[in-house]
Amino acid sequence: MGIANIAANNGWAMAFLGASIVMTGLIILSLAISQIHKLVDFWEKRKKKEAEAAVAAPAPIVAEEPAQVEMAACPINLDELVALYQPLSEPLGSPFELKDLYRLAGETNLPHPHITIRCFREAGLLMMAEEGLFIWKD
Amino acid sequence: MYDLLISFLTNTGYYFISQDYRYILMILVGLLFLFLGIAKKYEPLLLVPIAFGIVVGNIPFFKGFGLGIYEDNSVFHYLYFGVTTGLYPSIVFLGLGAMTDFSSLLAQPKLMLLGAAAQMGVFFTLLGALALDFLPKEAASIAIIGGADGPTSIFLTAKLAPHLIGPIAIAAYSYMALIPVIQPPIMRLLTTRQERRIHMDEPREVSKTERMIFPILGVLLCCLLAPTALPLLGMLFLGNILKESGVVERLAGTARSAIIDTATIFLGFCVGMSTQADVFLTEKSLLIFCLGAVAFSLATASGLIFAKIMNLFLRKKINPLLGAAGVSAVPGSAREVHLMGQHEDPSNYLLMHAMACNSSGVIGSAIAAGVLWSFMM
Repeated sequence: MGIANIAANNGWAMAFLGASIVMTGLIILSLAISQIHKLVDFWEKRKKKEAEAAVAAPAPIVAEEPAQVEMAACPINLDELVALYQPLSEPLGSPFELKDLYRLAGETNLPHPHITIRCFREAGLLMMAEEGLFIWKD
Repeated sequence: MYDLLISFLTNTGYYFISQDYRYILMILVGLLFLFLGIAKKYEPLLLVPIAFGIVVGNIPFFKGFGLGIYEDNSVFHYLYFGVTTGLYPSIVFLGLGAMTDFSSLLAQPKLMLLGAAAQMGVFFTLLGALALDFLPKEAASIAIIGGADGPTSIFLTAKLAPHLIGPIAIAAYSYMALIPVIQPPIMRLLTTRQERRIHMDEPREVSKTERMIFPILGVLLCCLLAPTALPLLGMLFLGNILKESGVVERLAGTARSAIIDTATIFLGFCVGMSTQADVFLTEKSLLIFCLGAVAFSLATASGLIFAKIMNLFLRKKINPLLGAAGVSAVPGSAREVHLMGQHEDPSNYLLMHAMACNSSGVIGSAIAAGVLWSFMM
């Protein structure tokens, strides 16, 4: 009876160890879940960067593959197109991100904005100002 | 014909009840619980099936007809199978997982510590029960009442001390239903008015990806630590991933409605029925009730005190009332914390934060049950 019974049944050890295990388990879980959002943010940023890089980098033209050549064909009237695209980019300021220009072109229903922007890049009409940002050629 | 009539009358419940007043007492307890559940709306989802079960289970009958819950091959015995095997508690946890939004917990992981702290009441009560000469397995089953989680208490008792399921389940559910009576005085006693008025920051937005990762991380970390908690936590996190994955909405919907409701009805009713007066009304049951109250009060106090200790180290103080929601009585204790916070300052909204502690309490009490079970193996 009493305290002696606790000791006889290993009660002190069970209580202490049990409480410690529960506390440790939940501390580990709380530490782990406090890191989830950092991992998720890191992963999403990485994906975003990859997507941006895909927009910014000129696609390699492989002459042997006719389908890609066909896709990469630039419109001949690039100067006229610049006159359409330049006013679009004005609200974005200078320099601007290509994905924003692409979005605005899409919203304005301009045809083939992705090809057109790539052609501007290839023709040197759009020049890289700094990492991921572009300006129009004067 | 007279003999036949006498024979019939001596087989009626009226005759048996006149021979043993304990049945009347238990039926009155059942009626009181029904009153509390229906008129006072104290946890009616639990209390109404339990209370009706108490009334039905205490209608005395001629033993040997295969009628009672403790008689082999009776219908009620088969229903009771779900309690004694721990089946219903696991199913309830599945539904609970499909209902629970862990966003508030994910947004404030430090509140998880309050759910752990409230489990200290379980281990204090373990010592108390051992000191009162209960066997270790009985003591562990009684102690888990402090977790304030009915299904967990039933699950552990079914595994360790099945003969005590009736009193332990009734004690656990009664105290869950009596949260509005038990917790507020302890909260007031252990906190100052100034502390109760502390406002908590708005929790940050939690992404869907985070919510989806949590059940996977939870099941891996918790169940690897205490594999004996698998039947509860495995089901809890299964329910949660059904909900958060967003691709099996039909399954999640069924888990949080029809499945959990069915299990709750049978669990409550069978637990009520298991309080048959001749089995239930013993000195031990009374002692278990008293220890249950101590366990629940200690769990509440442990959470509150731990929150105050945390405040010694935190730059941005937390409202210590949240510690009381560390017990896993979802959502009763969170509601009580919120109401007390609002009583002190009507502009203080603690519900979301209290739900975080509450849901960590569910996980904590399941781990505590798993740990106790493994100690007794």
